[in-house]
Amino acid sequence: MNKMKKLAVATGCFLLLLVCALYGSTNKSYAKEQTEFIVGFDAEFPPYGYLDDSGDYVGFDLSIAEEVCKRNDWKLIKRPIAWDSKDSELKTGAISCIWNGFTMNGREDDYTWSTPYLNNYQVVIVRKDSSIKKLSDLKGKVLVVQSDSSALAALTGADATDANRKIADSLQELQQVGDYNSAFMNLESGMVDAIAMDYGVAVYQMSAKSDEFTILDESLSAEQYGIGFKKGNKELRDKVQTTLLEMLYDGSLENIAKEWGLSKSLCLSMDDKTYIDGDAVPTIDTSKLTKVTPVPDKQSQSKGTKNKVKKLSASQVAKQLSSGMLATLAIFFLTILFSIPLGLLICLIRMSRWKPLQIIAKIYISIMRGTPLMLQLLVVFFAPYYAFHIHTSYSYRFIAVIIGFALNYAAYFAEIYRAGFQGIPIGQREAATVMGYNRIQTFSYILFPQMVKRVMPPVTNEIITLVKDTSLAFALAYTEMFTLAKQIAASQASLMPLFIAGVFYYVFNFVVAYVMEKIEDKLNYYH
Amino acid sequence: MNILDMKHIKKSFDGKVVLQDIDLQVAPGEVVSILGPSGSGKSTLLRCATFLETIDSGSIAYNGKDVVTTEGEHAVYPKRSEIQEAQSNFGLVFQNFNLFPHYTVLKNIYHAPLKVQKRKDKDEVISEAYDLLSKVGLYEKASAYPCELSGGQQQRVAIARALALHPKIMYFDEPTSSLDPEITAEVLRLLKQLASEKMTMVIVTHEIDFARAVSDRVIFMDGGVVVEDGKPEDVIDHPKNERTQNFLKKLHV
Repeated sequence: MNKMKKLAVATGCFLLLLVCALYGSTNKSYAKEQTEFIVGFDAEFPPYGYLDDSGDYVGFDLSIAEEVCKRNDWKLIKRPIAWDSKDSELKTGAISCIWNGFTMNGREDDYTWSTPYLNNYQVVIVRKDSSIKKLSDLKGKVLVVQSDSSALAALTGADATDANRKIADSLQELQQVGDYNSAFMNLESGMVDAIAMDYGVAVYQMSAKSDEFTILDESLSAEQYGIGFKKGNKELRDKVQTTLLEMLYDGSLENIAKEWGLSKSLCLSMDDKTYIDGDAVPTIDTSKLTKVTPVPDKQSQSKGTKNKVKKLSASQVAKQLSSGMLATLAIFFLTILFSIPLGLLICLIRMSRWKPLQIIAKIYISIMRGTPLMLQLLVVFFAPYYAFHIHTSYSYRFIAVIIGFALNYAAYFAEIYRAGFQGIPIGQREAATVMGYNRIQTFSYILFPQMVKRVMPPVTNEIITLVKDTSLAFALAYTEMFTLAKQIAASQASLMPLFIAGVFYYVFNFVVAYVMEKIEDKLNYYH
Repeated sequence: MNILDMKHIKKSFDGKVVLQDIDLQVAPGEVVSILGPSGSGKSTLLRCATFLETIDSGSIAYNGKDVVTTEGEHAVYPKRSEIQEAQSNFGLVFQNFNLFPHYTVLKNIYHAPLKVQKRKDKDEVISEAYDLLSKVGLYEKASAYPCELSGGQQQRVAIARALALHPKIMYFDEPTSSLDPEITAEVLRLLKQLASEKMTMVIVTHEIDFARAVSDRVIFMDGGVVVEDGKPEDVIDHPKNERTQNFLKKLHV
């Protein structure tokens, strides 16, 4: 019974720790003085939002957001998010809006929208020496698009025009790739004939590729970007809209657009009197506004000074990655720290003589092993809101990553330990019992040390897997190294940052394997 | 007063009867050998006496004190603490030695006296452990690990380990069955020495000659019952029962 008590105390302590962590992280959100304006964006989407050469998040949309916040005396927080969980981030209040080259078309009813501020075109990029000069030349060619992109929707989506459908049908093949880097590599190597993508993104990507490529004059389709707010959050929407109109009136919006080479695409208009949901757009008081000096519209600035890739050397990339390495190391060590003892606790519950406890542990292990870790991370992160309506702060993101990883790895460790215990000959337990060792003594003196030696090889495997699994923290937009590497890769329009990240993982695992081998050697004084 | 008093022991595994109404009494200083074919229940009897198996019905007493009794149809076991107290009366030596592989030979011997019996004088316990190692002829192996020893050496350490707890009775469950014949002798020599020192012992064995030489009493078991029980020269050399005769005949071929 004594052991049961210890188990209960240990479980209690762990739960208490979780609650404290949760409480601590929710509490901080009350301590803000300035109103926070949290922009959610995909940090792999230059020129609208990305990581620049000095490691800051910048972009056309973020520049506008900065000015909006300055005028409202808000504190701007730029929050990179995982694009797949943008709706949950918005619903839980983790972000104030989605502002990220965010296409309104097709999403009209899903958000409370500002009026459209930017026209976007789906354009086609070909090699300079290509025979493709207009859209009809695409017949019989191979076209590549990013999967789940607006370009794909424009060609084959439900709202695609007949003309675009005809183009799509005439193609030899319509390929999909995960990111623009691979699209350009495909085009460069001649494996595809053309790429279809957003105009702004195309301008940015091509700035890194010298003069190999050109954009066709004809575009596939036009769509409009807006700022998406949580459905019903009209108050905030109206404030932002008012400020945007004021910026339009005094010319500062035009200046920002020029810097990013997007002034021709700007479509925010004083003439839009209603939002797409039918509400009236607030009118602005222009009497107090003074026009700003326009940025000179020189020839060289037609593409903008900012909308281009600033190339980094490998060592600069490595330096930028280093902050992500710290995050990766933190996830790794904290997961080990919590999951190894927690795994033992679950293992003991799993092996307890009391059936109901056994079943609870069995179900736990089965769920943790049977569902994707990424999904578990999302559940841990969003559950406080969806289950209890607790608004968690940004620091909970990291805590959620650690909780998710620890809970998942503990399940695996529990089963490894169990196999370790079961591999010990029954005679060991019998000898101890006959010699008068009680259950705790038998466990701690005889069984546990032998189990530790037995489980070293599978535990090493698991730990090496953990090093690579840390990259799954991207699901919660926690910028560990791989997330950062992807962001830098997008902003550099190059895959080099990913390779550097790969080298880091390899070195990390090499060290882990070496350390584990040393520990195994140390335990090898008997067999 | 008998050290061990087992009466009307019944035990079955999944409906298969292994022990049917067995009695076993052992007096102080007595050396009892149990012979019998495989599956006759002799090892199970030892495992019941050492509480590694529970009996279905019957009674087990140590030094005249009841530990397991039977109320109605079923055996009644006391609290763990009482079982542990009864366990302090005996030592058990296994066929597979079951030394603790992660402890040195010396630690295998002194660990239980220190941690289980909670003896305070560590120096005394350790010097006793060395004495026991000398007695089993393995003084120089004190700091070796069990995996570095031969089977016979391991078994001798196992015997020293059991003796370190000062048992009143020692059980041996086929102590030489997993040893090579030439190594068997060194273990049997040690058992003979213990017998000459008037250690109370119950030995399950297949070594007929050894049993004849060392035992005060020999029990022949077959099919879960005691077939013969008597002096070694009677049971081994002049068995009355046909089953005993057949068994011994096979061994001598």
